[in-house]
Amino acid sequence: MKKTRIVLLLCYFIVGCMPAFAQQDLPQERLEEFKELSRRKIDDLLQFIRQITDKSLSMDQRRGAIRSAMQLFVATYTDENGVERAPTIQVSRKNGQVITMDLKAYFNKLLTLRFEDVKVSSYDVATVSDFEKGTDNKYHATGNYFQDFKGYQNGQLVYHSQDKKKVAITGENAKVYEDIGADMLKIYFGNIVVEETKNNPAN
Amino acid sequence: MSYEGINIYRHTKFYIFMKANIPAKILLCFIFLSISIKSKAQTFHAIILADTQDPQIGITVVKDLSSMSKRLDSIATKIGYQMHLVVMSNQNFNSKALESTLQQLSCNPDDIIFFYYTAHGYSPTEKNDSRFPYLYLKDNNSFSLEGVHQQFVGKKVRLCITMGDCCNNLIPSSALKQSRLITRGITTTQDAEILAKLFLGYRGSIIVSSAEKGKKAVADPLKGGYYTFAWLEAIRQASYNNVTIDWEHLLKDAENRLQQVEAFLSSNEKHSSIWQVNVTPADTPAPINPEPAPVTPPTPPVVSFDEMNAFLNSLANLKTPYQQREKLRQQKSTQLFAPNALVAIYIQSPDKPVEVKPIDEYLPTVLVSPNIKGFNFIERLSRVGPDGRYSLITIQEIR
Repeated sequence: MKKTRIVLLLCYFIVGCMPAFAQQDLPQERLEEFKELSRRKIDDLLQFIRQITDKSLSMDQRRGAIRSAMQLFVATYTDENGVERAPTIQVSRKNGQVITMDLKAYFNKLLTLRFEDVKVSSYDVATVSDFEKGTDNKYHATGNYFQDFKGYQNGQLVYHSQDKKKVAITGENAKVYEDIGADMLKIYFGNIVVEETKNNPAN
Repeated sequence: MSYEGINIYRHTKFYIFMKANIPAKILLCFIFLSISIKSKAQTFHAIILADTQDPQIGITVVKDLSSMSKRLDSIATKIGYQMHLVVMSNQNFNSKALESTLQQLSCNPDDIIFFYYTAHGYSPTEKNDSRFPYLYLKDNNSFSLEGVHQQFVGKKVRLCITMGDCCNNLIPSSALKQSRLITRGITTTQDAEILAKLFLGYRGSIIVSSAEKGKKAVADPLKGGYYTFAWLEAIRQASYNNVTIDWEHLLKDAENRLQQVEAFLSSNEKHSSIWQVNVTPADTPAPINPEPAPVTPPTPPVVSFDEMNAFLNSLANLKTPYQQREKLRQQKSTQLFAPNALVAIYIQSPDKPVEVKPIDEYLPTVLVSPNIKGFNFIERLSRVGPDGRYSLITIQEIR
């Protein structure tokens, strides 16, 4: 009986000394850095979109912008039904309709728009919400960017839309190598939805 | 005395001495005395004058004092010299302490003096006798860096170095402008031979000022003086792998690093260091307690700090056409980077990057990222493989 108690005590002691299995939460200061990183990535995304649509640039550069834009996003994700999907983006059309497209297809479509000239810019500063830890042990935030899209034909503005878009942002623990990783998150974007579409007087 | 005490006593030098005969005692006395005398020779006098209590720059000076005193102590150890540290700071930051040190400092011909001043400085408009600054000692502002340097040179040591990290602007009472910079606890892997070349391979004097005449020097509450930081980085890198380094090149490298650190400042805020090197090659004496030579010397990187910085910044330069930058990337990448090399990108602290990714994935993105205006390349947190190519670079994007 005494031996059993000693063994039990030892087991309890050993287990008690083991490091906690769950990942510790990141300090707020560190999360603020990832928030800033996310905001930079959103700014970059808009620059990539601008270059993809810019017909004055070489096709090499425009395709380079597509590759760089795609690297911002998760390759695939599993939806609530367990189906693996690629990220999507919502696009507002001239008739006011909002459609959902495969992200890669969207970027490729931007290469071959029928406008003579396209100007994409931002009409407000991109924002990112605070990161919060989800039940999946990942950190989640949402970003907003404000896209101003102008299409020209024969020097005339023939299409103009202003969309406030929302980007799903995820931060996942990424132990890259032995001395970096304890507080490293890999940041990637998910689906983009249109939150708001402003009137476009040119249409 | 206990049994254990007696056993210990029997192994002491005193016991051995007391048991020896008279001639042996005389010989032992001579030996002990020689060691004592010899250990007093070849001294590295590190004289630091630091205004740690100044309300504007005190916090940056504290960082400088800590960084410099540790580094100089390390250098002294590596070249086999005894360290003699004199720090004039806090309430001892004044002209009387400086005068007293200058008077009382006793040196031997093989000694080295390193005088480091970190505080306010200025260039009096009414005087035009020196391009180096005057020391703002508050109780007495008549000391010039060059004047103090000459007094140390007058001690007739083998090598005398004076460094002032301070303003040199033309308004006597101007405040030192503060900026952002972080002093790190730099861990070094100095090669004793390279440091011996620098500190024992030359005789003469060197004087350095962090700012040219008419300019203010820049410091940061977190890092300390920009020039001090740049100089510490330069000497660290030199001692790591530059077997051909000399003082002129070291100070030029420090200046280049200073410019890199100041890249984000406006042109009004930037300053350049000035220096005067008056040294001749000397016969290097064998250090008393040399560090054992490393069995495997570290591989130097295939490119210098400047070249890597220039390469990265070229990729971000939108004035150069995309095709040209892409060609440069393709040509240089395999020369500079090992297969599967990584890049670590930081925002606030170089020790805590926010992103690590393959360099082959990152560099093409730089070509299409107009938000990236340039880079700060952090050499000491980058890794070089056995073939001299980088397997990891640590950078900060300037946006």
